[in-house]
Amino acid sequence: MTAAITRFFEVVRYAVSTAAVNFWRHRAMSLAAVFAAAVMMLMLNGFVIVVSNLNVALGALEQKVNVIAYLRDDAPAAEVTRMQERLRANPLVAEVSYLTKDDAMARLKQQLADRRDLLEMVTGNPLPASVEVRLKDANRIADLAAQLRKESAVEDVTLQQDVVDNLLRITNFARVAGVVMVAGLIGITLFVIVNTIRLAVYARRQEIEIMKLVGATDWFIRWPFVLEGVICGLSGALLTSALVGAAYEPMQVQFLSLVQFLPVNLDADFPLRLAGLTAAVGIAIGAAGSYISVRRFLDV
Amino acid sequence: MIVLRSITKIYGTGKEALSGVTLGIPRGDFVFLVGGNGAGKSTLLKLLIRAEPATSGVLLVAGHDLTQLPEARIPTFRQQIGIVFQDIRLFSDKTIFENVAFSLQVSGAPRRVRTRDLVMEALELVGLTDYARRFPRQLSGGEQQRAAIARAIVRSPQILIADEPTANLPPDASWQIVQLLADINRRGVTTLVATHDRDVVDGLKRRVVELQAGRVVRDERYGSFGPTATQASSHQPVPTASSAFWPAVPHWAA
Repeated sequence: MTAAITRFFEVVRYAVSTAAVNFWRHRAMSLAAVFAAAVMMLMLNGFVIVVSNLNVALGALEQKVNVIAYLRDDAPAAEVTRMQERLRANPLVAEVSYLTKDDAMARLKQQLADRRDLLEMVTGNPLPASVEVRLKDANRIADLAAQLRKESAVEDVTLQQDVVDNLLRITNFARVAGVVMVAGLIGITLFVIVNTIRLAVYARRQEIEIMKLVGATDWFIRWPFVLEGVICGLSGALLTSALVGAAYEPMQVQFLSLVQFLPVNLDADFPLRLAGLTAAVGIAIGAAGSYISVRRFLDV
Repeated sequence: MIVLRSITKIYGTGKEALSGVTLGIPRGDFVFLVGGNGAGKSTLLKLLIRAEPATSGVLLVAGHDLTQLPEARIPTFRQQIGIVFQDIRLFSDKTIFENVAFSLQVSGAPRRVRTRDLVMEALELVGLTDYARRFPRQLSGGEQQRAAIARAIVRSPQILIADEPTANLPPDASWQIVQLLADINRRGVTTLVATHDRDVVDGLKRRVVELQAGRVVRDERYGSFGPTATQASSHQPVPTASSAFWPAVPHWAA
């Protein structure tokens, strides 16, 4: 047992020191891999930023989707209260707000403050009381509308189905396209990294052959290469994050001033999370790239 | 120590490189493997280090049945033999010390102090203690080959296999290398040397196995590079002690 543990730490020590030494000794190829990783991850970062902003914007638009149930004038107050309670307990519902007839009138007066002439034409209060319901998931708007129509206190239900449908179509497409393109970009990054590392490994194929012939196991050979790939991937990720970190703030200000109508305010942790994601992708791609690159040279 | 019984090797191209080779090499023996280009020497060595699988036959090396050896066990098997290559194959970016120590790292390095002792012992045996910190490019061809031999023996292998170890070396360096191999053999290491070098074979007068077109055509106990007049005519090898080690294998019956 002790021998196995000692052996394990010896292999780890060997792998780490060999990876570091090889990274430095073959620094031209290492730098090529680092820059290839950085360029690809820079593109990936840019894309993730755009998709995230778009998602926030679309999410905010979705938040505005609501259903208005106009109530009968003769609906008993108790029934209206019960209906509101039912709605608040409904898993589809995010928020319920009740607008009395007076509230509706006050809102109309506020909206038509410049057109007193129109208001003067209104006698009494013809506006119905209403319940405005905001949904958790805009996709379920039709279900909720159907449920509301069954309520006895409800006279009519309005929802802008066309607008909602179009919005949902756009947001769903944007999300799927975002995921597909990020996945595609990761695939392309991996391809570039594999080929860059493969060039480095190809230059050292004889070294691998000697290792095999003197009795090295595949993993003994592979570990230093995989760690070297991790160093390259992580260095590329750090470079990318440094560039993105420097450019993020001024670019966001610029962007927000261009599209003021869109609520694209990402939270303050976003750059940090993006850097974490970039580091994870860098490590994974570096390790996977090395693993794939070395594999074909191990058949000795 | 090494037993080949009716070993045949046919490559994917259909070329039959070895044809029914039967041979026994007992523990502690020293064997020169000779033959022209394409005779099958390299293929035989590749089979012995399991760089290639045999197509048919039985092949036992250091207690391993190489025809049945799973891929995963090949590294463990190779750690028990020492290999010396024609083109030396030292790691150019490692010092001589690191090159020799690598063999120990591969097979589970003992404690660092012990590693240093073993490496220095091996370097002392090949006469390179003063070169430990140098890189291969700073050594002559003969010195590089001696370093490669140190790498091969540092793990105290039971078998040492050398593929044309004196090729491309000047005669004096060649002779030193062969003397070194003989010295290692005297320590009990079974040694198999494939060579084209007439002088070293004739000078050492050890067992000679000659291959031609993938078959053993000569197996002499104290042979020379070319067949001696009497043995050439009879093709009868001198019986060796190998029969005591491998009684079931008539290794000279090829």
